[in-house]
Amino acid sequence: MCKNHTIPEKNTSKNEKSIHDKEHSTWNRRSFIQALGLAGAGGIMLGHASVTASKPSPLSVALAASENDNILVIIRLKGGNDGLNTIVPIYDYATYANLRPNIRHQQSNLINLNADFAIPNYMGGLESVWGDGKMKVIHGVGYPQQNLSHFRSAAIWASTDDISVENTGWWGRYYEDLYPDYLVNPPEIPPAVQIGSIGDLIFEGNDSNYAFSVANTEQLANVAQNGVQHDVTNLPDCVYGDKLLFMRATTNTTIRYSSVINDAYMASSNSSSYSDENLAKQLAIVARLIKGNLGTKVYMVTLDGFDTHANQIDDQRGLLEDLSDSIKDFYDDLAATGMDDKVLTMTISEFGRRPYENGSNGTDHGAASPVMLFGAGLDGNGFVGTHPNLTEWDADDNLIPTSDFRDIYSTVLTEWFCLDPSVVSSILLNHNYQNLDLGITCQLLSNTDFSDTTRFVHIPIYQNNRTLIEINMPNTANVDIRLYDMMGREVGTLENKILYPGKHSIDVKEKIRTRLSYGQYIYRISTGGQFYSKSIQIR
Amino acid sequence: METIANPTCNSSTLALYEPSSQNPWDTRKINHVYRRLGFGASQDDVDAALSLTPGQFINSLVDTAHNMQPTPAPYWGYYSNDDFSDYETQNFEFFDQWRLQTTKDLLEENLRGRLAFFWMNHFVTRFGIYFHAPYAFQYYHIMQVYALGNFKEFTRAVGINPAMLIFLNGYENTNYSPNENYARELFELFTLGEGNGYTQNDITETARALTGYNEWDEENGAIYFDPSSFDDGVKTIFGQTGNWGYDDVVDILFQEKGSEIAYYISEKLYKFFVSPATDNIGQTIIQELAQTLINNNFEMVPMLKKLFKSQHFFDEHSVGVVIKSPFDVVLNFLKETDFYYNDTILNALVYYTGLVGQEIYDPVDVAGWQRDETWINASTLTGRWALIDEFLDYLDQNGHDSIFVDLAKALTNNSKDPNFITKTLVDHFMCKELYTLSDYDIATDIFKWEVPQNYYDQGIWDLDSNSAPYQVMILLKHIARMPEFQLK
Repeated sequence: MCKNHTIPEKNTSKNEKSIHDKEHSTWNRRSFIQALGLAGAGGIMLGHASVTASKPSPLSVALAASENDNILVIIRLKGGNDGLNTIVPIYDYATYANLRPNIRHQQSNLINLNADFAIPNYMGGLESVWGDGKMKVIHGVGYPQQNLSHFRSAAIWASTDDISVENTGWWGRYYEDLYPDYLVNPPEIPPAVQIGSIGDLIFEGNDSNYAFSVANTEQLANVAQNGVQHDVTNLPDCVYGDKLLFMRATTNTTIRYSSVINDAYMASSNSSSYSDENLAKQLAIVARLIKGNLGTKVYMVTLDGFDTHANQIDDQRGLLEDLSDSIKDFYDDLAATGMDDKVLTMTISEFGRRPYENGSNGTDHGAASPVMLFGAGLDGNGFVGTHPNLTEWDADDNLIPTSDFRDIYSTVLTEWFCLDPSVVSSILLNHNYQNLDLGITCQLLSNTDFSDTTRFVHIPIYQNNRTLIEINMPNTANVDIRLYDMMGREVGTLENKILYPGKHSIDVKEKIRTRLSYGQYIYRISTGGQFYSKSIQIR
Repeated sequence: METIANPTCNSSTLALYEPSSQNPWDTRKINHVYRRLGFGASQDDVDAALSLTPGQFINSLVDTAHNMQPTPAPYWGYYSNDDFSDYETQNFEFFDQWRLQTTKDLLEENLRGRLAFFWMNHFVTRFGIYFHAPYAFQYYHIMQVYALGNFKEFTRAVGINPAMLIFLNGYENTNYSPNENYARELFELFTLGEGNGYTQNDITETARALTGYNEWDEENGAIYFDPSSFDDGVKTIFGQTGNWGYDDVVDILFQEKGSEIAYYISEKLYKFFVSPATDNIGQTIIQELAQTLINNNFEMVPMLKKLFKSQHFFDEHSVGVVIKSPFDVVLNFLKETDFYYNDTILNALVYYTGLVGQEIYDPVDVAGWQRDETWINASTLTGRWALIDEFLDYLDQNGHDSIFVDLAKALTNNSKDPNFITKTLVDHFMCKELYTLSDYDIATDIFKWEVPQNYYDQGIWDLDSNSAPYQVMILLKHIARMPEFQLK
């Protein structure tokens, strides 16, 4: 766990604040690189794997049965949004003003949401959304022992593990259970769609990343409008043009989800006229995908620039204006086809910012900050939780959180997506979190019996020179394990026999009779008519 | 699979390329040479070439290749089965060793390696058939010896090489039981081209003349001529009648069909080294190359020099039109990054090139790899990406990630501008500037990764930042996925 090493003192000079600490970050070295602006390539793509229809696992059946039509849009405010200048605590304006004499919002420049809290007056869009009852604010969201590194803290928000370094994200874990045979039998539609934030863990499973990811909006626009990643109509002349066409066209065929995305996009239109700003463009496309019934349940979009160490007034303003206008346009757009109650939008940010300003008219990394929720399903506007104490700070001079971000996730999973508590707990790494009153309630009477859904656990283990597959049999059954090379061709059978309940270890190199080269392979377990696949390294 | 749609737009001739201000001698041209004639250039290679004229540079590459000694024989190079202590195990071991050695040769030998490899796909044999590691060595040996030699003598030598005698059944071709396989492929694939100037009768008669190489003293030992299985009757080949033997076949073939052979070979070399499109240059460029070959009695060096020094070769329409083979992908990347590698990595990369369609010593069939667009389908393409991913991950996970930053620093003079770094790295691997400029923006967005934008704007970020190695790595992985990366 890393904590920021050099903590600025309360009364340091004005100059140093603009110089940032070199981040000591512990991001994850993963054995797969995910979707680098390359849409839909989760893990290894098996070109010629035998696509046998797989009977879903009991857990995935239970998950699928409890699914509803609700959609979540996550807006990542990248850099650490200054919450105090977003949701201004006018209940104690004097203290607020003293903390940040230069960068505070003037009282006359605020729109009151209620007697205690206000937003800057350039966020007229949100004023309207609040007025329509489609907005809630959760105060003081964070986690214990705030980490002040962008990378580490963003990883914590994505992985939900603030103690150890966890390489998977909350949604990655959900999809891993829903699609145990993903490498061989992926679903027809992308489980998630992500614009920007390449490298964010949120959709990362142990083996695959479950998002159709693009580096920027233009890339997604290209796929959505043309059904292809690379332009095959505008090309140079002569033989180079022929070869470039051929390469682009073939590359396009490898992108798994372009045509369903294109179909959804072309089946809909925007009934709002969005601005030309960054977030607006992203939400405009997302709106069309939702309205066009793509079927994807989770979207993530990214707005960068919140790391306002200097010049905060102007920099944050531009971003919050974009946020405000876009949300208004987005929900008007969804309302036009009656979908505004099916879509819940949530802002996340790796941290808030210091209560007091620095010497460069900005703020430094902080801790607790508000999470904003939007959607007609919220059952009216309101504030949730208590605002952090403005003058009692943690050891880094930061606001102490009054809500844990994982409580919000838990509530969303339970009350918005109607997942069984045992499933929610497992997604959140077997911790139980509080469900907050966000105005959303699961309407579904779940008659899915999760008690029968014992998870079949299998994992590769690397010990010195040996590569093992460890499986945990919940009951006696015949188990067939095959090994495939990364092109999807069967290399051999590792096991085909009856195994009794308990742990079993299969030594891959010992079991396979062919000589195995160093590299990536895939193993696929078949038991009880269900398939489970994972990638594995032979070293 | 269909190949070219358009005939070549290359109207340049085989006249000598002389640099000018509109058409300068620069890094792009040098990389073009190295990617075609070798397996890519290191920074040092490029710098050295910049100080030479194109003519001097090509001469040096060709002469060095021509004069290069073949790789020394391994101790088992001429073993027969009796010489092994444990045939099953050792045969595999030796073959693996030799594949690795060949790969290293390709990395180091520039044009000699490139041509040896070309000929291995012309005079095809398949290890899967002859299955004896010493034969693989002996076959490779003559590929090296004749790579820039005399094509006629090359043809003569390869037909009695044991790997070939086994692969195309020369070993079983006897006077009492003739086998036409080699005779057919000699004409159809090795010298004339399908249906081009030979009849079925020529094949039958030639097969008879090639009999006799049916004897060995030990299993998988040297194969030699034994008159008792030689058909010593009269044969008529290409209208010439006589009691022909092996050498006569070669002599008559080249004497009667010299022009056809020269054209066939010149066209093959042109397609390999210059462009798959030959539709409208047969009468000019190919014919001139063929004539050069004939005028030099099938010595290849003069023809190769003429081609490689020409305006036609350096014409921009020659650039970027060849689809990389799997070996090109791997070896060019190694050379152009100068990244660390070891035997484990090379062995793994050789395994992967096999998976994506190019197994060294084992082309798909006797016609060899057809190259060009046949290299690529959705499956082999994603395999190529996975191959690069594997290599980079290995480096990353084994403590070599600082070399990613070293590359970026060297190429950009330690720039802090993510746009510039990205463009420079992309352009380093591509033979032309990207046609769609917004593709640079996508690559830059990827390179920027999780680092907040203000770090770049305020100059806080640089290539010494903790995240920089990872950023360079993911950019490299993205570069390998760009369509242009597969073109050279």
